[in-house]
Amino acid sequence: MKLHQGWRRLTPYGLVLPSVIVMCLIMLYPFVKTVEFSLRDYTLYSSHRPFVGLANFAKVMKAEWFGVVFKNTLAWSFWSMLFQMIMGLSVALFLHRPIPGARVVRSLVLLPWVMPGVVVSTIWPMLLSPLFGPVNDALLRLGLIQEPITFLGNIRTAMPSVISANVWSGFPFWVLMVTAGLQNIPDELYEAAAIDGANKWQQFRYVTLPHLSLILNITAVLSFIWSFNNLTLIFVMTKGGPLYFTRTMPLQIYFSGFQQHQIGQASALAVITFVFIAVAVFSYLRMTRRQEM
Amino acid sequence: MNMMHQAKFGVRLLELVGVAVILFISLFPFYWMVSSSLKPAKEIFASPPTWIPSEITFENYRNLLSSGPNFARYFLNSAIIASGTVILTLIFAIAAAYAFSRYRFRGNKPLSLGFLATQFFPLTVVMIPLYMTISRLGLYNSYLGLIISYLVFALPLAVWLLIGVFESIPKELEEAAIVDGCTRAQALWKITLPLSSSGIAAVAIYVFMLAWNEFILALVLTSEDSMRTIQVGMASFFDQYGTRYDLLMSAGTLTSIPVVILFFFMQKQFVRGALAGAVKG
Repeated sequence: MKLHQGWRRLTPYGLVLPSVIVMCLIMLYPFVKTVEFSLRDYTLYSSHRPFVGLANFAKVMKAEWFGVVFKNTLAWSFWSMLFQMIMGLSVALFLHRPIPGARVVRSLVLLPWVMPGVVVSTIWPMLLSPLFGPVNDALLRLGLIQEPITFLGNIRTAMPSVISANVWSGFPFWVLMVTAGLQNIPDELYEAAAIDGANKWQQFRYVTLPHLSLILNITAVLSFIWSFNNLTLIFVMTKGGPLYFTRTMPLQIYFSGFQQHQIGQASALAVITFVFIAVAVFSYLRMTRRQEM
Repeated sequence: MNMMHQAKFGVRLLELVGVAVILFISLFPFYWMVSSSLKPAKEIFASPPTWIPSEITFENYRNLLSSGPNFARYFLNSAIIASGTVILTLIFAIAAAYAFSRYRFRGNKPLSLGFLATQFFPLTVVMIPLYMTISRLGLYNSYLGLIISYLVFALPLAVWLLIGVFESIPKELEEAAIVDGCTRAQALWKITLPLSSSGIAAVAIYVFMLAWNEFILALVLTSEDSMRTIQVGMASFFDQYGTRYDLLMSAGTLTSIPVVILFFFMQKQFVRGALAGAVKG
């Protein structure tokens, strides 16, 4: 009997163990390795990989491209997040009104979000093509431009163009989150506000917004992190070009590691990325904690 | 009275315009992809472009499937890898989530929170050593190598979703079945799993889409043409042929069909999965 109970106590560990093992093997172990590599002089063909302390960090942070790449990453993540929010919030608020067919529209709006990133990154270059793209054609017909614009090849328009593609593929997530948030606001609050003489704008300002603020904060952090980590769109559309004008941190890690075989420096960049993301996630977890209370 | 009618009509009209704008923004890129894929190739490369195909033809699809790139093979690879990931993830996640939701044991909380924390772990941070680990395990250029990598990136969300699902099903049902002579495993198999089927379906869809759509790992962990997934195939296509939009748009349409179908059939579960993942995660 006692033996039997002893085994029973081990059951939950047995059930959790396979997941823990693969997580350690595929996530934790490589992460420890990344940290280790970042402290070593490690290029692909070096058989001897001496410990060099923080030399890799110093080297990448002094590199002329570091500031540019970091700025690109922040710009790409921030503007993507902001425009996704503006679009997602307006669409969700608009469709929350009693409009015939709102439910169908709400589900059609989610479609861009389920599209594979690679497909998004092949549609957009075609839409923006200077020769046979509809965007240039429309702008020309409307007389807004005289010459077609090479959106993805021009140093001034490349970043806004890849951000547009990212906004298109990411705004539906905001619609989803904000809609869920709106549905959680009790109708009585609006009725009470209306009785107190609040007009539509005041109802929005003093009832809707305060109730949405938590969900907006959470979604903002999530969408910032997702864009920050997203490598696919830029990788396929511009490869970081023209020159380095759309090169972001994940892309730089890929290039340094897999093309230039600077494993040590790429790992240092990865650690820097990790610290940055960890701070963002930490602030995010603190927000959800507050929600539970 | 008349004024009120007019005002109401004005509001309706504005709403209609709003709906039209929203649908245009969300769907026009699709329309352009699908309609281009059905245009004769030389019309795709006409400048200025035609906004409506002058004739509908499937020649691009025929060219895509018959010409150089091994498109059918990529499609099959993706289907195998995504299905394999779903099956493996469900097995691992059901076991773990069941333990977290039904057993009190030391380490329950920290372990389940540990899973939660890995949800936003940036792939690029572990990409290089992961490539080395997978190579050392002899899984480079194999289905299994990609499947277990995707498993790890799908597990946190799957486990968290399923903990919620299992906790919503009363323990007493299982206990009653055990009193009636079922073993614990039978109770799980016959009572809890069938009752959680819609939650499990949500997880399955979410994981399938994640694996079907993933690009970077598939790029890093395979090199042979015969092992490419559809996403890597399309991207290399884009690099190789530059602006062969005739082939790209038909490939893109075919690649999107499975996710669009899944999305429409299982939309409720999908939205539930996405929301729970984001809010919990």
